[in-house]
Amino acid sequence: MTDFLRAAGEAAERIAACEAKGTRAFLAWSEAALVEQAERLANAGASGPLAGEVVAVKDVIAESQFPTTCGSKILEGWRSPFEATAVRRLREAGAIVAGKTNCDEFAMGSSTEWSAYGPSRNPVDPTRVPGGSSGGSAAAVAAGAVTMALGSETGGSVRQPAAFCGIVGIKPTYGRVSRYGLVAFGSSLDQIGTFGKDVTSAARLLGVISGRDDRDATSLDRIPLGLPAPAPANLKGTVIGVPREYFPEGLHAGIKAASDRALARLKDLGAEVRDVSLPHTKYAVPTYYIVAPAEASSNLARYDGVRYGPRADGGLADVRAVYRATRGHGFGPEVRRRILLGTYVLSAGYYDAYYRKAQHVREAIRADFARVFAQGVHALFTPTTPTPAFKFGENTADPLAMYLSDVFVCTANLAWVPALSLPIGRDQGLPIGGQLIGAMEGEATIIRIAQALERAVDATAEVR
Amino acid sequence: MSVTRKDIEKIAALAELGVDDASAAELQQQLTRILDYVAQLSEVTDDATSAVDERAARLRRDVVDPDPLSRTPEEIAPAFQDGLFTVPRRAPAEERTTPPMRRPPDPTLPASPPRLGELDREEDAP
Repeated sequence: MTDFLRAAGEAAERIAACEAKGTRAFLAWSEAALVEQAERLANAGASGPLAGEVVAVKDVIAESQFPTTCGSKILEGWRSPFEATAVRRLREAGAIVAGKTNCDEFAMGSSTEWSAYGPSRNPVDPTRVPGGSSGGSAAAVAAGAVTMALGSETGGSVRQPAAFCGIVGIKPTYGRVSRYGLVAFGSSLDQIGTFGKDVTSAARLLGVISGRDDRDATSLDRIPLGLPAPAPANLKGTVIGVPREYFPEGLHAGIKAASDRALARLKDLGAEVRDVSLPHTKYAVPTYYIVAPAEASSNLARYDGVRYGPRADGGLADVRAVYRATRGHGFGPEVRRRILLGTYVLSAGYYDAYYRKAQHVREAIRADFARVFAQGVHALFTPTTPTPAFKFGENTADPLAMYLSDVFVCTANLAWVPALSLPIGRDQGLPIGGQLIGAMEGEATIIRIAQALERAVDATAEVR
Repeated sequence: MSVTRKDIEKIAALAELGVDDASAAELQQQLTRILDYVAQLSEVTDDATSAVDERAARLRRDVVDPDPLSRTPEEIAPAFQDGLFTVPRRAPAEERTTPPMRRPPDPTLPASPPRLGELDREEDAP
């Protein structure tokens, strides 16, 4: 038996065990597909940097073996005629695609509760959400089904579930990874990100999928990041900024204790920890919830029952009735809400008051980051989330409460800067994530700091 | 900012999204709450954002522009009636009639693509 076939067989057992517990991390996978890929790689003598690694792929990323549904009924059973550049690159690196993972519908959500196919469960505590929208990918890694997975971020959808599930998630600089084949939600914010059981795993996957792609006009003209360097022995000469706006009065006591402990470890490693300010942080969530729905309302106009997926057309009078019935029945409540919100803020008479204003504030948020990084700060440290993983149903009745769980993560998407989350401790058994935010194109710096912090902090220990 | 039922109907029509009565009432209340929350952006003074480089996101004027095409669809179309393009009825070849209101070729436009009837003829043949 080849190494590839052994890897595929072992992955099939682990995925089956994960799903048998009701995790519902995957929307589609099969042992036959794993074996077929392994045989193909073995016959080709594949020897790339991910040879034999089994990688799960979020269902908003085009892949040709399984349907690409985006967690939506409007794309039920739809198969992409092409593969995303990120998927093609991981195949070229010798990896095996494990299957497609569950997510909030069209990546709109923070818990996977908005998936049309039912939510995923947090492997650490199955009564709680895994976070979202890339919750299926995070749960698959946390459950040990795979060691790496692709997710996507528009406003923290990799880092937030990574924090909730106790694993590592990286959101690269906007343009670092091609968006070709990533189903569009908010095009000025969307990026494919990576999950790993540890910093090096997530960084290895990012190193392979990154780099210029002519099929994405917003792709940065840079060579791939490549494999990460070994973890540094210390962080002497590194300046870590601690933005005070991310540590408000009344911050969850467990999150505060874990963050304080991680900052103490960073100092122990020789880093200089410096108080900084990002004054427009409080406006990030309202800015995000104007910009992202506005872009979504435009991007999702293509789902009309004519070009993609199932169509509602029984006895309807005209083509507009078909559009309205297909979209009204095909989209779930959160997607409908965001399409309407986006349409509202772009409509005549409201455009200046909402959309233009939000774009101006977005620039102010970007300027905050640029100013701090120009003052010699190498990375910022913050909590990833304001609370640990919440219970099912806790936030679904109040959309605004759900949106506020993104408060510490959506700034990096608005500002296009790279950021990652790594586990820094547990509170009453629940994982807590610490976030490192870098300057534009500063992935290597935050990965290096995260590798050092990961070795210095016991992420499984209770923090209070 | 209070979103009215009429607002919901208007934006649902703009978004080509079917919304039933029960959903409309709930959406009215939820969108009002969300818009009240995002209204805090008005606190940010223009001074704080006056240096914005709009090349990062090209913004349009908040006006409803007339049709931005240099020529209207009616001018371009071979046949146009009541705001709609007119095309040959899809029917067996022996029943076909010439499409109505066909215009003479416009020498300033590129050569016309094949007409629908011409494309259909062979596949309809028994």
